[in-house]
Amino acid sequence: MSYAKHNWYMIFGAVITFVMVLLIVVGYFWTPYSPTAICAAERFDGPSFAHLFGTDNLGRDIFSRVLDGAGTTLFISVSTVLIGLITGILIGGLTGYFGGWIDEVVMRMNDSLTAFPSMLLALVIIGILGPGTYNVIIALGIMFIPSFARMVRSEFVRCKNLDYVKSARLMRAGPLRIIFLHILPNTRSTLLSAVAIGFNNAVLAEAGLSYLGIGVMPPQASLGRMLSESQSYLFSAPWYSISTGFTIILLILGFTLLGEGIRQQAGVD
Amino acid sequence: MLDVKDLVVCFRSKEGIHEVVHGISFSMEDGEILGLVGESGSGKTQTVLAIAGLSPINAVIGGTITLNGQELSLLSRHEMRTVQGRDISMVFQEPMTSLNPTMRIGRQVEEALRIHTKLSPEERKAKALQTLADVELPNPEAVYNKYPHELSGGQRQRVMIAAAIICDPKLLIADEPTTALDVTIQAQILKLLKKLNKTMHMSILFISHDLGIIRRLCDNVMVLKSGDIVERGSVDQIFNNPTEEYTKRLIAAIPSRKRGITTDEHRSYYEYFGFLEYDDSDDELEGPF
Repeated sequence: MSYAKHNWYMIFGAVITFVMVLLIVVGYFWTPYSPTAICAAERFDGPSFAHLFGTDNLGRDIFSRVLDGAGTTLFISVSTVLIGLITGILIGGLTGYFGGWIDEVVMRMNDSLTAFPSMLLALVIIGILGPGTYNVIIALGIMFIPSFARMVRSEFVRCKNLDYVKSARLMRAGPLRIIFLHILPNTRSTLLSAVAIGFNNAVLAEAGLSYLGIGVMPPQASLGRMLSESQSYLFSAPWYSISTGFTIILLILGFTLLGEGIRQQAGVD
Repeated sequence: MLDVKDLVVCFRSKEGIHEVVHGISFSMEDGEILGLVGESGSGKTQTVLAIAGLSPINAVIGGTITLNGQELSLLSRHEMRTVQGRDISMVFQEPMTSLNPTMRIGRQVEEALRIHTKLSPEERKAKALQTLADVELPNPEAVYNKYPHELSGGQRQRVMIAAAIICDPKLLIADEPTTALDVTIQAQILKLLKKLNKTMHMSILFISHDLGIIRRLCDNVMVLKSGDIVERGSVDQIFNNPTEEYTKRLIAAIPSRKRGITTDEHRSYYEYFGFLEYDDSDDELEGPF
């Protein structure tokens, strides 16, 4: 039950995220111009009614590319977080609930995965698999598993000694039933805010990988790739980097606020 | 009905094996309410957890526990489910954590039926509503669809009891079920337990460190001290003629008006339960049991 009058984090976060997602959905079906259409005559046009965010070095409409690129970025981050979350729940849930040697072994493997700097780990995986949207998802997904697993595990360790879990065990409910029906729903507030923070990290990581040129491959647009291209024209065409950078900021801001809002909502409970 | 022989509970740790219950033996009759008293760390909880099969992983249990002629440690996994899971149930101390906050009351009360019976959803619901009415919750239909945070502590404890008795267990273990409740609610819950004991012929193993409650509710009392049974007998015997020095000291440790330990809270409390120095002229407060 919330006694706070308004959870502004939640409200602003939800509004920003909603608008961004709406734009991305629109961008999926319709963009003012084709995001990949090159027009030599319109290179480096500033923002105008024809081209809302101006055009880039190849005369492509930046607004269309931002819509398209944000969609790619969002798709990558959603898939990444889902991989991390689902695998994390399975690993963390089983180790946290059963404990014992299985917990020790799996969590030490988890630790060794965490010991790599995360970007380096992603670089290694992409180095093996090669660049491309789906390989970026796999690399980032693997990178995200340890933190989710650790969090889910600690929540399970906390919950498994609560009386309602004990009474479920007394009724001889099966372990899977206890894990998914009795404990998992009670970890939702922690998980939800972790998911929101996970989205941020995924957006940034994708932007980072594409910025390094090993993420999404051209001509496909993604926010990170566009940002990396735009830095060559930072002074001649500042609108390029500004519009791309702001889109990344808004996307992350929305998720961060939403995550903070959920956390506060749970804290008031 | 319940027969415990030479029950030993040990804990393995890095320092070695630590024994917390040293081979206690006792038995319970059908419909008996047995009070288990003892200070913290006397092994009360470990004893009942062993009976319920809920001991922590690092615990080692020795001795035999027999329920209705079936020895629990010899049961297969499947039999365990039907015997231990259905015939023994438990009410915990803290009503705030003993219900799952994300599950509706109806679901939680029905959980045992889902696991142990093949009733249809409608039958389960009917049975759950009936049980909620049995524990004297007003308006069971409304409670059925609520979440635990919408209920008060006393209501939650009633729901807990409903969930525990829905499969007609032979033995109900109550681990200090009233400690977290205020005095008025305590009295109601105790009354309810007594009623269920009468109507359902269910034995109750009642743990408490509150001798006042034990005296009111139980038929027999067992005093535990650091893993051994100090004394066992009927309530009258233990409270009026304790033979062991430890039991005498326990009874003497109860705050009473005569000895002048009378904070307001204690006074109202012991007036309510009519313990020791209770003045019989105030009949209105006397419970039916």
